[in-house]
Amino acid sequence: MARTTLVTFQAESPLSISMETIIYILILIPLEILAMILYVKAIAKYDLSLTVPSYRSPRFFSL
Amino acid sequence: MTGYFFLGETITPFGIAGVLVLLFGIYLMNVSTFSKGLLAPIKTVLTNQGSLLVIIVAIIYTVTSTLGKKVVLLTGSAFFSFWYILILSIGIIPVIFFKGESPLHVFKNFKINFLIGTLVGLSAYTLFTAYSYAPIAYVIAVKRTSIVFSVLLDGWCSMSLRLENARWAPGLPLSVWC
Repeated sequence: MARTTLVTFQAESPLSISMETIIYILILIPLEILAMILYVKAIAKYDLSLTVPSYRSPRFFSL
Repeated sequence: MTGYFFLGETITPFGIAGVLVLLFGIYLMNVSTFSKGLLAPIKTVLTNQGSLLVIIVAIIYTVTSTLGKKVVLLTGSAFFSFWYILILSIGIIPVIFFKGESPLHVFKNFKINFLIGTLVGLSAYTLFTAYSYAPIAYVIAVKRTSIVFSVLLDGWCSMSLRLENARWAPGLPLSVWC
């Protein structure tokens, strides 16, 4: 008689959120938003490609 | 340094060498000012407003990535990637209003925005999963290579589109998220 084994999987249950986690997230989110704003401002207002000398540019070789 | 401070992680001498190579690369980017002095390339980076802003962003990211790893270790990558993106999206709404725009613009090109959102979510999940396997400095270093892929994708898109004025268009938004 064939023996069958029933295998079940339980979905990962949500872990309890500790106060430590909440504090970290409360610090993280404003910092991430600030970084996002500054980064978008940097690429929108300034031509950052100017910081990279082109190999075609004569000034690249004028050391 | 933040990895060591917040998580007690250390990197190998090869890892330190990698960071130094990176710094030397930044130095070389401004090598044209070398004739003004040995430290002139560094001064150029610090006096360029745009570069300065990006440096500030990089410093902020060193803190957020290490704190992010702490949360991942406490809660799990799937849990954190979902809630992190959701809370961040809600948190950015007041900023959008402050800029005089509407967050409902996202529904104008819903399909493409949905695709972008899905990919960002997936990238967050894979990144946070990687946090569990390696020191934060290495994970972020590998993550930054995404800029190379952005540029390659940009070139591929430009060739495909054959539109001169769209040369920078695909790579720029990708680079923002990278």
